Amino acid sequence: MRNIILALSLLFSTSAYAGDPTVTVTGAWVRQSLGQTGMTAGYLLIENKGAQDDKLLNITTSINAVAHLHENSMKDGVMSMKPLQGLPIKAGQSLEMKPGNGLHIMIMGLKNPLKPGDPLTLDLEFERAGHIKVDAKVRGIERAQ
Amino acid sequence: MPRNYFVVLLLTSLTGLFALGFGYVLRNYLDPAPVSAPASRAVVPNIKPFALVDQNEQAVTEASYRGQWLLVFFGFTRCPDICPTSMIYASDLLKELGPAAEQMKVIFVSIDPERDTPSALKDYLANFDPRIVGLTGTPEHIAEITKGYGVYYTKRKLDGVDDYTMDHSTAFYLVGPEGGLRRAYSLQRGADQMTADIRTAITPKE
Repeated sequence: MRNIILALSLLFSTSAYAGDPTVTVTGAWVRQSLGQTGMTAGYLLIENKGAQDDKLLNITTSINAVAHLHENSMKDGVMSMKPLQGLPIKAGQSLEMKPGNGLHIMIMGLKNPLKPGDPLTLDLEFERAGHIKVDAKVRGIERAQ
Repeated sequence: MPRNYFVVLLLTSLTGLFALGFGYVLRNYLDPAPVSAPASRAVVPNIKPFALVDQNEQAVTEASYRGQWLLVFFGFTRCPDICPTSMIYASDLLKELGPAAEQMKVIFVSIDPERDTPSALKDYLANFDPRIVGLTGTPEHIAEITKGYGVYYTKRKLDGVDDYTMDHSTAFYLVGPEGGLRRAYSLQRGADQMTADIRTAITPKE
Protein backbone atom coordinates (compact mmCIF):
# COMPACT_ATOMS: atom_id res chain seq x y z
CA MET A 1 0.00 0.00 0.00
CA ARG A 2 2.77 2.37 0.96
CA ASN A 3 4.49 1.50 -2.30
CA ILE A 4 1.38 2.29 -4.23
CA ILE A 5 1.09 5.68 -2.53
CA LEU A 6 4.73 6.33 -3.22
CA ALA A 7 4.28 5.30 -6.84
CA LEU A 8 1.19 7.47 -7.13
CA SER A 9 2.83 10.47 -5.53
CA LEU A 10 5.82 10.02 -7.84
CA LEU A 11 3.49 9.84 -10.78
CA PHE A 12 1.76 13.05 -9.75
CA SER A 13 4.96 14.86 -9.04
CA THR A 14 6.22 13.79 -12.45
CA SER A 15 3.11 15.06 -14.17
CA ALA A 16 3.36 18.29 -12.19
CA TYR A 17 6.91 18.60 -13.44
CA ALA A 18 5.82 18.00 -17.02
CA GLY A 19 3.35 20.85 -16.61
CA ASP A 20 6.03 23.33 -15.57
CA PRO A 21 6.07 26.35 -17.80
CA THR A 22 8.82 25.46 -20.23
CA VAL A 23 6.90 27.59 -22.70
CA THR A 24 6.12 31.10 -21.47
CA VAL A 25 4.04 33.85 -22.99
CA THR A 26 4.72 37.40 -21.77
CA GLY A 27 4.28 41.05 -22.70
CA ALA A 28 0.96 40.50 -24.46
CA TRP A 29 -0.73 43.66 -25.74
CA VAL A 30 -3.36 44.51 -28.28
CA ARG A 31 -3.75 47.82 -30.07
CA GLN A 32 -7.11 49.49 -29.57
CA SER A 33 -9.42 49.08 -32.56
CA LEU A 34 -9.45 52.11 -34.82
CA GLY A 35 -12.64 53.75 -36.05
CA GLN A 36 -15.20 51.51 -37.73
CA THR A 37 -12.76 48.74 -38.59
CA GLY A 38 -13.89 46.12 -36.03
CA MET A 39 -10.42 44.62 -36.04
CA THR A 40 -6.94 45.12 -34.68
CA ALA A 41 -3.64 43.36 -33.99
CA GLY A 42 -1.95 41.91 -30.92
CA TYR A 43 1.65 41.18 -30.06
CA LEU A 44 3.49 39.07 -27.49
CA LEU A 45 6.66 37.17 -26.68
CA ILE A 46 6.79 33.37 -26.69
CA GLU A 47 9.79 31.64 -25.17
CA ASN A 48 10.40 27.92 -25.31
CA LYS A 49 12.79 27.27 -22.42
CA GLY A 50 12.29 23.54 -22.63
CA ALA A 51 14.29 20.85 -24.37
CA GLN A 52 11.54 19.92 -26.79
CA ASP A 53 10.10 21.69 -29.81
CA ASP A 54 6.55 22.95 -29.49
CA LYS A 55 3.99 24.46 -31.78
CA LEU A 56 1.39 27.18 -31.30
CA LEU A 57 -1.79 25.72 -32.76
CA ASN A 58 -4.61 28.11 -32.04
CA ILE A 59 -5.54 31.37 -30.32
CA THR A 60 -8.89 32.32 -28.85
CA THR A 61 -9.96 35.48 -27.01
CA SER A 62 -12.18 36.20 -24.03
CA ILE A 63 -14.22 38.61 -26.15
CA ASN A 64 -16.56 38.08 -29.06
CA ALA A 65 -13.94 38.06 -31.80
CA VAL A 66 -11.92 35.78 -34.04
CA ALA A 67 -8.15 35.61 -33.57
CA HIS A 68 -5.83 34.41 -36.30
CA LEU A 69 -2.09 34.16 -36.36
CA HIS A 70 -0.88 36.12 -39.35
CA GLU A 71 2.44 36.70 -40.94
CA ASN A 72 3.23 39.66 -43.12
CA SER A 73 5.90 39.16 -45.67
CA MET A 74 7.55 41.91 -47.60
CA LYS A 75 8.60 41.20 -51.15
CA ASP A 76 9.67 43.92 -53.54
CA GLY A 77 8.10 46.52 -51.27
CA VAL A 78 4.72 44.79 -51.28
CA MET A 79 3.29 43.57 -47.98
CA SER A 80 1.31 40.34 -48.15
CA MET A 81 -0.49 38.92 -45.18
CA LYS A 82 -1.20 35.24 -44.82
CA PRO A 83 -2.70 33.16 -42.01
CA LEU A 84 -0.36 30.64 -40.43
CA GLN A 85 -1.48 27.09 -39.76
CA GLY A 86 0.48 26.58 -36.58
CA LEU A 87 3.68 28.27 -35.55
CA PRO A 88 6.61 26.01 -34.59
CA ILE A 89 8.71 27.20 -31.66
CA LYS A 90 11.87 25.16 -31.37
CA ALA A 91 13.46 24.21 -28.07
CA GLY A 92 15.40 27.20 -26.76
CA GLN A 93 13.82 29.54 -29.29
CA SER A 94 12.05 32.77 -28.47
CA LEU A 95 9.71 34.54 -30.78
CA GLU A 96 8.81 38.18 -30.39
CA MET A 97 5.91 39.75 -32.23
CA LYS A 98 6.39 43.47 -32.79
CA PRO A 99 4.47 46.06 -34.84
CA GLY A 100 5.57 46.25 -38.45
CA ASN A 101 7.75 43.22 -38.01
CA GLY A 102 5.70 40.57 -39.76
CA LEU A 103 4.19 38.26 -37.21
CA HIS A 104 1.07 39.37 -35.36
CA ILE A 105 -2.22 38.14 -33.96
CA MET A 106 -5.03 39.51 -36.06
CA ILE A 107 -8.23 40.05 -34.08
CA MET A 108 -11.29 40.36 -36.29
CA GLY A 109 -15.04 40.59 -36.07
CA LEU A 110 -15.11 42.77 -32.97
CA LYS A 111 -18.71 43.47 -32.03
CA ASN A 112 -17.71 46.55 -30.04
CA PRO A 113 -14.70 48.83 -30.36
CA LEU A 114 -11.77 47.66 -28.24
CA LYS A 115 -10.66 50.57 -26.07
CA PRO A 116 -7.52 51.15 -24.00
CA GLY A 117 -7.87 49.42 -20.64
CA ASP A 118 -10.57 46.98 -21.77
CA PRO A 119 -10.08 43.55 -20.18
CA LEU A 120 -8.88 40.93 -22.64
CA THR A 121 -7.50 37.45 -22.15
CA LEU A 122 -5.79 35.47 -24.89
CA ASP A 123 -5.80 31.68 -24.74
CA LEU A 124 -2.91 30.18 -26.69
CA GLU A 125 -3.05 26.47 -27.39
CA PHE A 126 0.27 24.71 -27.82
CA GLU A 127 0.84 21.18 -29.07
CA ARG A 128 2.90 20.16 -26.00
CA ALA A 129 2.44 22.89 -23.42
CA GLY A 130 -1.33 22.88 -23.76
CA HIS A 131 -3.34 26.03 -23.07
CA ILE A 132 -1.59 29.14 -21.81
CA LYS A 133 -3.81 32.04 -20.85
CA VAL A 134 -2.46 35.56 -20.69
CA ASP A 135 -4.02 38.92 -19.96
CA ALA A 136 -3.38 41.27 -22.84
CA LYS A 137 -3.17 45.01 -22.20
CA VAL A 138 -5.26 47.00 -24.64
CA ARG A 139 -3.13 50.01 -25.57
CA GLY A 140 -3.99 53.27 -27.25
CA ILE A 141 -2.09 54.75 -30.13
CA GLU A 142 1.41 55.55 -29.08
CA ARG A 143 4.85 55.30 -30.52
CA ALA A 144 5.27 51.96 -32.26
CA GLN A 145 7.67 50.44 -29.77
CA MET B 1 0.48 16.03 -79.35
CA PRO B 2 4.07 17.31 -79.75
CA ARG B 3 2.60 20.60 -80.98
CA ASN B 4 0.44 20.90 -77.85
CA TYR B 5 3.48 20.23 -75.73
CA PHE B 6 5.41 22.92 -77.56
CA VAL B 7 2.61 25.45 -77.03
CA VAL B 8 2.47 24.69 -73.30
CA LEU B 9 6.24 25.03 -73.06
CA LEU B 10 6.19 28.33 -74.92
CA LEU B 11 3.37 29.72 -72.75
CA THR B 12 5.13 28.61 -69.57
CA SER B 13 8.38 30.26 -70.61
CA LEU B 14 6.59 33.46 -71.64
CA THR B 15 4.72 33.62 -68.32
CA GLY B 16 7.97 33.04 -66.48
CA LEU B 17 9.74 35.75 -68.45
CA PHE B 18 6.89 38.16 -67.85
CA ALA B 19 6.89 37.46 -64.12
CA LEU B 20 10.65 37.96 -63.99
CA GLY B 21 10.39 41.23 -65.88
CA PHE B 22 7.56 42.48 -63.67
CA GLY B 23 9.49 41.56 -60.54
CA TYR B 24 12.55 43.35 -61.88
CA VAL B 25 10.62 46.53 -62.62
CA LEU B 26 8.89 46.41 -59.22
CA ARG B 27 12.10 45.86 -57.34
CA ASN B 28 13.96 48.61 -59.09
CA TYR B 29 11.12 51.00 -58.59
CA LEU B 30 10.31 50.15 -55.00
CA ASP B 31 13.79 49.54 -53.74
CA PRO B 32 14.85 53.14 -53.44
CA ALA B 33 18.39 54.42 -53.46
CA PRO B 34 20.15 54.52 -50.07
CA VAL B 35 18.46 56.92 -47.69
CA SER B 36 21.59 59.08 -47.59
CA ALA B 37 21.15 60.19 -51.22
CA PRO B 38 19.70 63.69 -51.55
CA ALA B 39 15.99 64.01 -52.30
CA SER B 40 16.64 67.16 -54.28
CA ARG B 41 15.47 66.14 -57.72
CA ALA B 42 12.48 64.38 -59.20
CA VAL B 43 13.15 60.76 -60.12
CA VAL B 44 10.01 60.20 -62.14
CA PRO B 45 7.78 62.50 -64.17
CA ASN B 46 5.18 64.55 -62.39
CA ILE B 47 2.28 62.96 -60.59
CA LYS B 48 -0.70 62.56 -62.92
CA PRO B 49 -3.93 64.49 -62.34
CA PHE B 50 -6.31 62.85 -59.91
CA ALA B 51 -9.81 63.44 -58.53
CA LEU B 52 -10.48 62.08 -55.05
CA VAL B 53 -12.36 63.04 -51.92
CA ASP B 54 -10.94 63.66 -48.45
CA GLN B 55 -12.23 62.45 -45.08
CA ASN B 56 -14.43 65.55 -44.84
CA GLU B 57 -16.00 64.77 -48.23
CA GLN B 58 -14.21 67.67 -49.90
CA ALA B 59 -13.13 67.15 -53.51
CA VAL B 60 -9.37 67.04 -53.91
CA THR B 61 -7.21 67.12 -57.04
CA GLU B 62 -3.47 67.22 -57.65
CA ALA B 63 -3.82 71.03 -57.78
CA SER B 64 -5.08 71.16 -54.18
CA TYR B 65 -1.59 70.62 -52.79
CA ARG B 66 0.57 72.22 -55.48
CA GLY B 67 3.34 74.23 -53.85
CA GLN B 68 3.50 71.89 -50.84
CA TRP B 69 5.63 68.88 -50.15
CA LEU B 70 3.59 65.68 -49.89
CA LEU B 71 4.36 62.49 -48.03
CA VAL B 72 1.98 59.90 -49.47
CA PHE B 73 1.15 56.47 -48.04
CA PHE B 74 -1.20 53.94 -49.65
CA GLY B 75 -3.05 51.76 -47.16
CA PHE B 76 -6.47 50.76 -45.85
CA THR B 77 -8.25 51.12 -42.54
CA ARG B 78 -8.67 47.34 -41.99
CA CYS B 79 -4.92 46.86 -42.16
CA PRO B 80 -3.99 45.52 -38.72
CA ASP B 81 -0.27 46.07 -38.51
CA ILE B 82 1.73 48.04 -41.04
CA CYS B 83 -0.78 50.88 -41.64
CA PRO B 84 -1.28 51.90 -37.99
CA THR B 85 2.47 51.53 -37.48
CA SER B 86 3.08 53.80 -40.49
CA MET B 87 0.51 56.38 -39.32
CA ILE B 88 2.05 56.41 -35.83
CA TYR B 89 5.36 57.05 -37.53
CA ALA B 90 3.85 59.85 -39.66
CA SER B 91 2.30 61.46 -36.55
CA ASP B 92 5.64 61.35 -34.74
CA LEU B 93 7.36 62.74 -37.84
CA LEU B 94 5.02 65.75 -37.97
CA LYS B 95 5.71 66.47 -34.31
CA GLU B 96 9.45 66.05 -34.70
CA LEU B 97 9.57 68.36 -37.74
CA GLY B 98 8.14 71.20 -35.65
CA PRO B 99 7.42 74.35 -37.72
CA ALA B 100 9.02 72.71 -40.79
CA ALA B 101 5.97 70.42 -40.92
CA GLU B 102 3.99 73.38 -42.32
CA GLN B 103 5.84 72.82 -45.60
CA MET B 104 4.41 69.32 -45.94
CA LYS B 105 1.11 67.42 -46.04
CA VAL B 106 0.93 63.77 -45.05
CA ILE B 107 -1.66 61.93 -47.14
CA PHE B 108 -3.14 58.46 -46.53
CA VAL B 109 -4.68 57.18 -49.78
CA SER B 110 -7.02 54.20 -49.39
CA ILE B 111 -6.41 51.26 -51.71
CA ASP B 112 -9.63 49.68 -50.38
CA PRO B 113 -12.14 52.29 -51.61
CA GLU B 114 -15.05 49.82 -51.47
CA ARG B 115 -14.93 49.85 -47.66
CA ASP B 116 -13.04 53.04 -46.93
CA THR B 117 -15.69 55.71 -47.22
CA PRO B 118 -14.78 59.28 -46.20
CA SER B 119 -16.48 58.65 -42.84
CA ALA B 120 -14.51 55.40 -42.30
CA LEU B 121 -11.31 57.32 -43.05
CA LYS B 122 -12.33 60.12 -40.70
CA ASP B 123 -12.97 57.76 -37.77
CA TYR B 124 -9.73 55.92 -38.46
CA LEU B 125 -7.54 59.00 -38.82
CA ALA B 126 -9.04 60.56 -35.67
CA ASN B 127 -6.54 58.33 -33.82
CA PHE B 128 -3.51 60.00 -35.39
CA ASP B 129 -2.11 63.50 -35.95
CA PRO B 130 -5.04 65.67 -37.07
CA ARG B 131 -2.95 67.12 -39.91
CA ILE B 132 -2.98 63.78 -41.77
CA VAL B 133 -5.32 63.87 -44.77
CA GLY B 134 -7.20 60.75 -45.87
CA LEU B 135 -8.21 60.33 -49.51
CA THR B 136 -10.58 57.86 -51.13
CA GLY B 137 -12.60 57.72 -54.33
CA THR B 138 -14.02 55.41 -56.94
CA PRO B 139 -12.05 52.19 -57.55
CA GLU B 140 -11.17 53.61 -61.01
CA HIS B 141 -9.81 56.85 -59.58
CA ILE B 142 -7.82 54.96 -56.96
CA ALA B 143 -6.39 52.73 -59.70
CA GLU B 144 -5.36 55.86 -61.59
CA ILE B 145 -3.54 57.55 -58.73
CA THR B 146 -1.71 54.35 -57.75
CA LYS B 147 -0.38 53.98 -61.30
CA GLY B 148 1.37 57.34 -61.05
CA TYR B 149 3.31 56.04 -58.06
CA GLY B 150 3.89 52.47 -59.24
CA VAL B 151 1.89 51.23 -56.25
CA TYR B 152 0.74 47.61 -56.29
CA TYR B 153 -2.37 46.38 -54.46
CA THR B 154 -4.72 43.44 -54.70
CA LYS B 155 -7.49 41.83 -52.68
CA ARG B 156 -6.76 38.65 -50.76
CA LYS B 157 -9.54 36.47 -49.35
CA LEU B 158 -9.14 35.54 -45.68
CA ASP B 159 -9.59 31.84 -44.87
CA GLY B 160 -12.41 30.79 -42.60
CA VAL B 161 -14.13 34.18 -42.42
CA ASP B 162 -16.21 36.15 -44.88
CA ASP B 163 -13.64 38.88 -45.21
CA TYR B 164 -10.69 40.00 -47.27
CA THR B 165 -7.51 41.88 -46.73
CA MET B 166 -5.25 43.76 -49.12
CA ASP B 167 -1.72 43.09 -50.26
CA HIS B 168 -0.15 46.44 -50.95
CA SER B 169 3.01 48.50 -51.39
CA THR B 170 3.96 50.00 -48.05
CA ALA B 171 6.40 52.74 -49.00
CA PHE B 172 6.07 56.42 -48.15
CA TYR B 173 6.40 58.59 -51.26
CA LEU B 174 7.86 62.08 -51.02
CA VAL B 175 6.48 64.46 -53.67
CA GLY B 176 8.07 67.84 -54.32
CA PRO B 177 6.16 71.16 -54.37
CA GLU B 178 6.08 71.06 -58.19
CA GLY B 179 4.37 67.65 -58.14
CA GLY B 180 7.34 65.43 -58.97
CA LEU B 181 7.92 62.18 -57.11
CA ARG B 182 11.27 62.53 -55.34
CA ARG B 183 11.75 59.31 -53.43
CA ALA B 184 10.20 56.25 -51.88
CA TYR B 185 11.00 55.32 -48.28
CA SER B 186 10.60 51.99 -46.56
CA LEU B 187 9.89 52.22 -42.85
CA GLN B 188 11.71 48.91 -42.42
CA ARG B 189 14.93 50.67 -43.35
CA GLY B 190 14.91 52.90 -40.32
CA ALA B 191 12.55 55.64 -39.23
CA ASP B 192 15.24 58.01 -37.93
CA GLN B 193 17.08 58.27 -41.22
CA MET B 194 13.83 58.78 -43.05
CA THR B 195 12.92 61.62 -40.69
CA ALA B 196 16.33 63.23 -41.15
CA ASP B 197 16.17 62.90 -44.93
CA ILE B 198 12.68 64.41 -45.14
CA ARG B 199 13.66 67.28 -42.84
CA THR B 200 16.63 68.10 -45.08
CA ALA B 201 14.51 67.85 -48.21
CA ILE B 202 11.66 70.10 -47.10
CA THR B 203 13.62 72.73 -45.18
CA PRO B 204 13.96 75.83 -47.38
CA LYS B 205 17.57 76.43 -48.40
CA GLU B 206 19.17 79.65 -47.13
